[in-house]
Amino acid sequence: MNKVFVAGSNIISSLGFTSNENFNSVLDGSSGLRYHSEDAIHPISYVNRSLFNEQCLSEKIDVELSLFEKLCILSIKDAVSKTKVDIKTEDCLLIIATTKGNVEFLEKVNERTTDIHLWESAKKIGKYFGVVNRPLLISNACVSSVLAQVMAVRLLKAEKYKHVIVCGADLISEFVLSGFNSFKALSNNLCTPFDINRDGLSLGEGAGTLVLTIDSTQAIFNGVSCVSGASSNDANHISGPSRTGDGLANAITSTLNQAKIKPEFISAHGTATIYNDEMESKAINLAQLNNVPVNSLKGFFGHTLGAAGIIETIITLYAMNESKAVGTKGFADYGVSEQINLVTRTADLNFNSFLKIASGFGGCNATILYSK
Amino acid sequence: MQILKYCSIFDAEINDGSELVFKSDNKDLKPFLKEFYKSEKFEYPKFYKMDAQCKLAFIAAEVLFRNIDREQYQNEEIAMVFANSESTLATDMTYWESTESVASPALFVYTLPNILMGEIAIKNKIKGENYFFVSENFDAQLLHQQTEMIFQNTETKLVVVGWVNYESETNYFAKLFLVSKSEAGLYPFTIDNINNLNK
Repeated sequence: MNKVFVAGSNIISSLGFTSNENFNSVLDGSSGLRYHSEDAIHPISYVNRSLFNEQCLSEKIDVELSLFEKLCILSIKDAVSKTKVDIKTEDCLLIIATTKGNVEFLEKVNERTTDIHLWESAKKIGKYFGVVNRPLLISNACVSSVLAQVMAVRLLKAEKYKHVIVCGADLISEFVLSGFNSFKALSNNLCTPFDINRDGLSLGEGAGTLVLTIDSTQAIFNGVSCVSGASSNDANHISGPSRTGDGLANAITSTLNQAKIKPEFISAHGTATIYNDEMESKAINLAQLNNVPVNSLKGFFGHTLGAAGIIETIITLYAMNESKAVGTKGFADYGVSEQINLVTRTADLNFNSFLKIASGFGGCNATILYSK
Repeated sequence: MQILKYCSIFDAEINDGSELVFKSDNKDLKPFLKEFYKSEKFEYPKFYKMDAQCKLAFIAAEVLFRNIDREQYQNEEIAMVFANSESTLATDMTYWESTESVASPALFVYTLPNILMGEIAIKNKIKGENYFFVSENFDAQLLHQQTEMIFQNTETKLVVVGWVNYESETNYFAKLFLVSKSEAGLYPFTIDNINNLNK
């Protein structure tokens, strides 16, 4: 079977417009989360947002498209520009992953327009780049962009395509803010993953793109490959994480059984809600990975929903390449019932493989494994 | 890949395979589904909490799993691949209107299209792979390809493949297939059969 390599990447968040800028900010310990109190952003004053400058985005791309679509386009454009991949060929597939796309249109027009459809955004983004294959759009809650990577690695291994470009993106909208607020899932402060005093998540927004390829000559990160991935369902509750972690553990086991290797690092979902982090600590133990170093990157980016999985994958690819374990920003005192090997401060660490794990509403879990 | 079973719901009709099993004069989806729910004496209080699209998916899955020996499959061996074109727009609007008074978490959770797979998973104890796609039109090729990829890469033995789309009380469509990795079934799971069965 084919090996799947990384040819290029991009992250756009409040920490920067390229993967490099974002990774360097993370290494410096900078967080994109800010305290926003202006009514113009949202009347809920205690929300921390990872907000990039809207005007800045518009200056960089001059097309009549929504902010969400511009964000995706800029991210894809930068990622592809660093490769030799021709996005316009039959060999190339584009997958967009998002939870709510242009949902902010509801706030403005309060009526149904075609433009609000998720597939319409995918179509416009595809048209912008002149792609031949119809872009796919996956919308699977907070695991969307991990699932998109799982799909990509399978399609590439089966030689359905030579290159698959995966872009995950989501914006903060009043719609999403009010929803998480109604769940009392938002922290009053900067989120504190796995901490004893954690009180909820900080929302973020942004985009991440990975160009995956079977062309080994285009491989970056010293030939790292995307090995395998899987998803699972808790079959337990539509809005609460599993109490046992067995669903996530199943997805991890399925990924590792396909790969036949053990991960040397784990990038957790680590949203800093009480139940998510607790569930993850149980899942990691069920999968017998309790000694493997684990971090959460939510303290840097906030929870970027459909973009979270891919942004965190890219940061961990950079970290593995530069032999760094990124610390769990916001964490102070251990606060989950099961022991996991949490990386608290950024430090030098050699690791040859890592697992990205994620869970979301609807009881869904997804995992993806990369290895040197 | 073989289709073990298929079913559909549209125009106030429920079809189990090619057989019409329920028809109502009530063309609106919610009352029509409630009528069916009562006539079948279902006892599943969570049904009443679901939004219309989840109710549609839930009932379709109930019909799909009839006369299927569910126990021969482990929970982890059953996967789901679903798609639609609306995502959850109807509920998005209802939720957004609710925020003018008090934002309802019970509504907000239904503003994610994959929740319908969560509801089916809870009822039918399905713990395998799950993927939700949004495409402009019914896309048999996408459903076929993703199902094939799941069988090729995982221990999955059965996939619930579906299109569940709720636009309004009178404009809705569900078609579901139960697809097995084994050789024996009703029809081969091909793009033509996905398109032609359940029309």
